[in-house]
Amino acid sequence: MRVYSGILRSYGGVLLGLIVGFASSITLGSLSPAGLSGSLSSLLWVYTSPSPLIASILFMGPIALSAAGLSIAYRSGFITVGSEGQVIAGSAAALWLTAIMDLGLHPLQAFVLASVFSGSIGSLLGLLPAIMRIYLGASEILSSLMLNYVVLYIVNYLVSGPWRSGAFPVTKSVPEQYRLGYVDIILISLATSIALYIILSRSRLGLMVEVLGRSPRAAETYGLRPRLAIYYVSSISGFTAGVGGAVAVLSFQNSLTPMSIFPGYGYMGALVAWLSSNNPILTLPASWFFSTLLVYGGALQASGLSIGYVLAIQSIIVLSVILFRRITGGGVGYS
Amino acid sequence: MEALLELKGVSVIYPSGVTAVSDASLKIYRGEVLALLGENGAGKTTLAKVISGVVRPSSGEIYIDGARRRLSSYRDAVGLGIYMVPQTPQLFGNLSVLEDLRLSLKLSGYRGVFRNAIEGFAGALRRLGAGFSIESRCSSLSMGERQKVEIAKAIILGRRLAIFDEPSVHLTPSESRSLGEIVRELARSGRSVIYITHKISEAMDIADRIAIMRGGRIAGIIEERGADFDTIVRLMFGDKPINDSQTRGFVEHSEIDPGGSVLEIRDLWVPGNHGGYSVRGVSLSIRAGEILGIAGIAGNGQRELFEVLSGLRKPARGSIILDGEDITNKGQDYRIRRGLSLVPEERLDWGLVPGLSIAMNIAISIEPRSRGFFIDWRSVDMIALEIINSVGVKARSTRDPVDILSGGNMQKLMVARELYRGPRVIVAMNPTGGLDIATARFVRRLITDYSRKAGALIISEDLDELIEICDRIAVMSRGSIRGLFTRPFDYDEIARSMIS
Repeated sequence: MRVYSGILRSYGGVLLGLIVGFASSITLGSLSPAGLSGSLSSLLWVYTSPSPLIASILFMGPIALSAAGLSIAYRSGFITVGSEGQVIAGSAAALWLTAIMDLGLHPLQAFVLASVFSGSIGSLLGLLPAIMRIYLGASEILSSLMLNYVVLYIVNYLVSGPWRSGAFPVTKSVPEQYRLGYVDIILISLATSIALYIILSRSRLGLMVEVLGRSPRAAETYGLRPRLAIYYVSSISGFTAGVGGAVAVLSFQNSLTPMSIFPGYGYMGALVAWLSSNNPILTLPASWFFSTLLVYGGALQASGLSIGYVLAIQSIIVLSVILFRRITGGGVGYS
Repeated sequence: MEALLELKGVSVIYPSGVTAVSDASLKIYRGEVLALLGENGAGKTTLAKVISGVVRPSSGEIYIDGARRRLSSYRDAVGLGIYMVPQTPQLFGNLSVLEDLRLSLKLSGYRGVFRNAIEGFAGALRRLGAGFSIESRCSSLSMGERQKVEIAKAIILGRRLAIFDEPSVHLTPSESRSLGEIVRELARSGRSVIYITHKISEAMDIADRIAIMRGGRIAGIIEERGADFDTIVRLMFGDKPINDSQTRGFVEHSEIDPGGSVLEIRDLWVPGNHGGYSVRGVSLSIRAGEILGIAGIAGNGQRELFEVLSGLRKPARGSIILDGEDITNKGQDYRIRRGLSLVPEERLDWGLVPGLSIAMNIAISIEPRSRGFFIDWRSVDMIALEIINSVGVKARSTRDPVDILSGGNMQKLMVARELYRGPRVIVAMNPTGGLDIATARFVRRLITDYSRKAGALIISEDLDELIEICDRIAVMSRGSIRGLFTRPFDYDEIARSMIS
């Protein structure tokens, strides 16, 4: 009941965002009435045609995997945004294993190995802000944010330097046999969400997380070992985001080029976790919704609208979802 | 007399289905002190929260100066000059006392001169005998000190109606007397006061009228001073048989021959929050089967002592020996596994976690001690049910969030949980703070019954309570033990050493 109303309210927000976005565009003269009908028909296309639907499921992978891990971290009060860097590092790690090294593995072996490798690198990146918070009292929000830049520039160096495959700064592609399809992405995301939900609701770690997030002092007094819990949640969220990166490179990215800005899957994961009240199951539909926005943005761009305009519309939609949920009662997230 | 505020048929039903207040009608006149008297869980606090805008009634009407009003938030009420001192002080921990006051003044839309308000506030604090600076951080204050801040705030912000919810709980007898004088003065200057208490004598002393609540209803209103004690008791407890020992809360004390020491504290020095030492060279020894009380005025190092015993704070010097083993440098988890049980002063946020179910709150201190990755929630549920039933916690299911329980039920739940583990030593701080006679008596009985097999250290600001249940009482003042008393106790002698 609460879940349904939450989803309904999110879609109400989308509607509000579209109305606000397009109405202001027309008023400002940046969109003609003909352009409006074109934009609306591409919206319809996104939700009704097979190819954008498949694309949206592929994009969902890294967002959903980041969000599911973050939902546990946020519940414990560990507010990291390192998922962005972890996704990028995970992509690079998986690419190195499958495309650069190419060990000639069985596809399943390659996937498992890439996931473990990317996930472990994500975990290590996740642990750094946790260690800095515990021993130096550094805010994990800032340190994880800064770490994202470190990762971005290291990967950019690798891509344009040692891993460059020809005249252009682009790496080799992941061989066809290792690539993942939309069914794989659905299965991986679903399995991760369910596993994390079980950890949260059934395990000792889940109890530690719930107590730590609400009453750190009670957690400490009764020996629930807050530090250990923070290490766990930071490495778990790092792991899933790292796997998210592997999934991205094995499904739709296939090769890497230097990035001038963050691709944003990890940041979207943070937003998704927050909007789904840090419930690892609810992060799935929310991630899919965000990835349809990505596809819709692509479609608008293809129809000739500038990237800046597309980003503006997307942002208005996201803000409207938050606003709409707020005014229709209940929190924005963070139960 | 004209009514300042009138409630007509107010009911409050919580989302869980629990009816906290049912069909309550009440008038509050200008310049009067109205006592709201009742047992824990009678609905007093909820009704006061309706008046102070914190809880919205499910039905019923509120009239202020004869006009119907909707109080839908704390700010609505404060804007109208209604301020409530909550039972557990709620200050912004990260702010200083002064900053907290400024913020409250701003939120309330205070139109006067801030400096005057601050002066009045500081004056009120002095009268209450507050020994801390208004520049202190709220989180560094003890419960008693925070309570004084809240009371002083009520004097400034409750321009028309000040509500005090069990204000004397964290105060010493002499501080309570100053509060009584302040309350009478407020009434003389034309303000109205609602004074919530579960103590009959307190209500009779302070109030012009007494409204008695039972089971969410207004059971009766005593309109005149000098009412008959028995009538009040009957209204409060209904037809339940009340004998003398129950109202006086007497617990039989058996003479047990104490065994070897289960908890030993040797020359303990603990750094305080403001530099210096809060605990200065404390040495104590508790034997199995013994209850040792620590008496003292709040803010004399008791809280720091509790924190150091629980492992939350590191001592600078000295050692703590539990059952023959030095645990001074051991973590909380280890201490609990070795048989230490803790009953902290603040129920919610420390002893219990708000927002989590009763079962999860039981699991907090019981389940982490077992092994394996998964928690066996079925067995936790059974333990929770057993605990609920054994101490009579009023809850419909172990899945209910712990927040909806009344203060008394929360305390029973927490104490019973801590005893369920079969500890060697119980360390409790103000274990009956804010409880009505019957519940306080019940909680004391839980502890005294159990202490036959273990040792208990009870830190309490309620000297009567310590005298009732302890074998020995140590008085703590400015961080040191000023005296160690044994039965039979001399009340006056102990009280004198508390202020020495």
